[in-house]
Amino acid sequence: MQVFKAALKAFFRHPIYLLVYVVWLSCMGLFMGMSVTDAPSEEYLERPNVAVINRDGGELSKGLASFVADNSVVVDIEDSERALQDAVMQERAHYVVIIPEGFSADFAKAAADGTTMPEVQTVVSTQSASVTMMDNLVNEYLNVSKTYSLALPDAGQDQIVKRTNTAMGHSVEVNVVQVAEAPPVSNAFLLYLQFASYTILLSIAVCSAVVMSRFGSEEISRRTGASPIPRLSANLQIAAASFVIMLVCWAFVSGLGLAVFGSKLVGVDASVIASGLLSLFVYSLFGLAFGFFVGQLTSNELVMNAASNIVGLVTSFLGGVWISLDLVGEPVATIAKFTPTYYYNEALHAAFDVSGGGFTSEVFVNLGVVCLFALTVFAIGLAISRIRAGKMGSWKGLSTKASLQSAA
Amino acid sequence: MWNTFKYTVLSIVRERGVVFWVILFPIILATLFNVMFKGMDEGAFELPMIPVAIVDASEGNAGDSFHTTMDALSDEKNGEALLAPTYVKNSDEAYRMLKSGETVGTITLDADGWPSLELSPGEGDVGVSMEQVKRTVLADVVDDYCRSRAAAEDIITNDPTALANPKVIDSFTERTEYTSALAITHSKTKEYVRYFYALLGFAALMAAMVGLTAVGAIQPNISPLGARRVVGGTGRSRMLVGAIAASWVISFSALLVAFAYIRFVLGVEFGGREGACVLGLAVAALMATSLGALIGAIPAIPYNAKSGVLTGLTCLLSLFAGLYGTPALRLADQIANDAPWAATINPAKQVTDLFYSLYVYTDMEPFFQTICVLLVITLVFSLAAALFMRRQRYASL
Repeated sequence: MQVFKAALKAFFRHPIYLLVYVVWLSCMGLFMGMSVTDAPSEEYLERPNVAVINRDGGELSKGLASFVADNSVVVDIEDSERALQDAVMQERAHYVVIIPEGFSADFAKAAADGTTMPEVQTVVSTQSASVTMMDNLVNEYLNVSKTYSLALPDAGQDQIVKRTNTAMGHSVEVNVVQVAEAPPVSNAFLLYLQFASYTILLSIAVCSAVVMSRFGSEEISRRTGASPIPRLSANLQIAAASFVIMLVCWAFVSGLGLAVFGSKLVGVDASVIASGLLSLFVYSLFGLAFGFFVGQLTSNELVMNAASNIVGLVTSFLGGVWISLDLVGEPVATIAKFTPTYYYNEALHAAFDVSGGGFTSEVFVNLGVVCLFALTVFAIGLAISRIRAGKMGSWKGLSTKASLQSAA
Repeated sequence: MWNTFKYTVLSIVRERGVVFWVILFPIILATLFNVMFKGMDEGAFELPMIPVAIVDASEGNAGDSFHTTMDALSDEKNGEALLAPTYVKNSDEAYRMLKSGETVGTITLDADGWPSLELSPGEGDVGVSMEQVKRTVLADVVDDYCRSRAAAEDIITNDPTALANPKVIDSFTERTEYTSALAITHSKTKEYVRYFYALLGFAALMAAMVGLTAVGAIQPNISPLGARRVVGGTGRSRMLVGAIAASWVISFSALLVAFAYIRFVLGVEFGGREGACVLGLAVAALMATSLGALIGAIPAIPYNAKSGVLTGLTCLLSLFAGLYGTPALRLADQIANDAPWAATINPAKQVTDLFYSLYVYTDMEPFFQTICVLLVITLVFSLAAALFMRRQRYASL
């Protein structure tokens, strides 16, 4: 067990990696998780933040403004160019309705005369489906107002607005169906585990690569090669140490998640949480395999950091843990299927599925694919290590050196 | 000084790890972003087809108007169909479809043909999920039907004389657009450009790796090379100026390469203000150099681990600049709004804001404000670095 102990010692001699990658990056996941608030389950609508700039004092404008307010999240914004730009830039308002001066009067007049109807101006910060639906609502309100304006030509605008409001007050009765017995897993915890794919890949890969590269460096591997411990045994011990490191990282990330989001998981079935953590564990195996691979490739810590980071970023983005794959095009969604993170994410979603979840066959199938990825990367790492070992141990190289020395 | 400059440049360019970090990394990441967001730009705003089950319990002709609406919404000839309705016999079957995920909702018509809606519960996803969008659209579409019908029935019951006017009847089904979109920002806002800006913020911090390496190489307590150089004839300050100038030149060049790649190869827009962008990059490189010098000068951390510290710092600060996908971007916006000081002291966020302010604002004032903030950050980093470097005692008995 000498090698095993030495490997762990090498790891703990680099507390900075433990701190920066395991602790620090997990905190990033925490921030992400804590930034989302769980919508109550009856909350089924996706409404944008809307600002109404009412430059008109008429009845219709007031009615429209209050209708919009009832159907969105209203933010107050000052009526100035800079304030509007700021609101749009910082996404405080996704949709701004500007009701121009004299709109109510123009509307009534145009409806009566049959001329072109006046328009309200809108500012869209980011085009999205919810903004489109908001736009539809504004049009709906004004369409119904127009109907009433035509039907009640002699009525005052207050009367028209009142009846428009009554009609627009109708809405369909909605029930959100609870398809499972237990409450679903908190979004915050899901997001934390999704982000953990980056954390865990990076921390395990870097930490284990540091250890492996220590033993992989030419001088040390010559020295260990000369010792009476069989090469296989030494390698297995290093592997065992790396596995322990992986366990430490996994346990830390899982424990932190449970500690922080535990209160939000009350009532959730234990098997659902366990299968989420199992998914993370299997993904950790991929991290370990990747760390092994990087450790064989280079012993330059700068390159190790960079390689792990870039693979972590690329797989996290492509795997759909940072951006919903619904939003990217079909080709990207196909490429995504070539990353282990995609299957990890799928496994998580299956584990946390609203209609049950837990240890379902879908979870295991996806985790199986993650295992295959881990095996593949590990095999490539092994091949590299064989090639390197072969080069180092060749008699030819040694004899050349020896003959050179004797010649000197 | 000139020799220090020259050899610092040479030695850093020959360091593979540094070149990888500061040049290759942003390019690889930018390429990835480009692949991902091109699709987002094209197809993201199309509303998806919504599968829905309909249980019709209406009597006589009561459900006719609803069916007409449904037919119009699911007619594929008429532009894009919004709904994909399946008529089912009873609510049990509709429930089975809802549970298995075949549909997102069930519409049940009562005896009078008024609809009610059952929706599947929300499922967590990153940012806004398509499922949530589908539920919203479905509820809105059915709401729209209810409102128009309520208005029509109200008029038929209370003001039957109004029906003599054919315009009124027409207006029941007529849909006029009353909104016109107004552009108030300098460029047409496309959200995905923000990821590229955040990437430049990340690249700027990564470029601190250059300053770190250069400064580490002249610190006698950090590297053996530094120890050797200090006993040489060149004064400390001259060496420092040379090393810092060289770091700045390399960081700036690396950022320029990344910028040029993003702007000209990938075609990401910067609001047509490329000149100002270059100025911004020059300041960002200065900030990066001072940050590198600061971390390079901290005596307590071993040299090898410093790159780890810098990486961790960069990752953390980039999170708050919105690099890591939709949730991170939301988090960054939220922080900028709730705690502006936290955004102000985050150099990654400031570099990101440089480009955003050029892209969004019509006037240049916010851009220069951000430049000033970055210069102040640079000054603070430099002063702190100088404190660490001055009058160090390297070995004492």
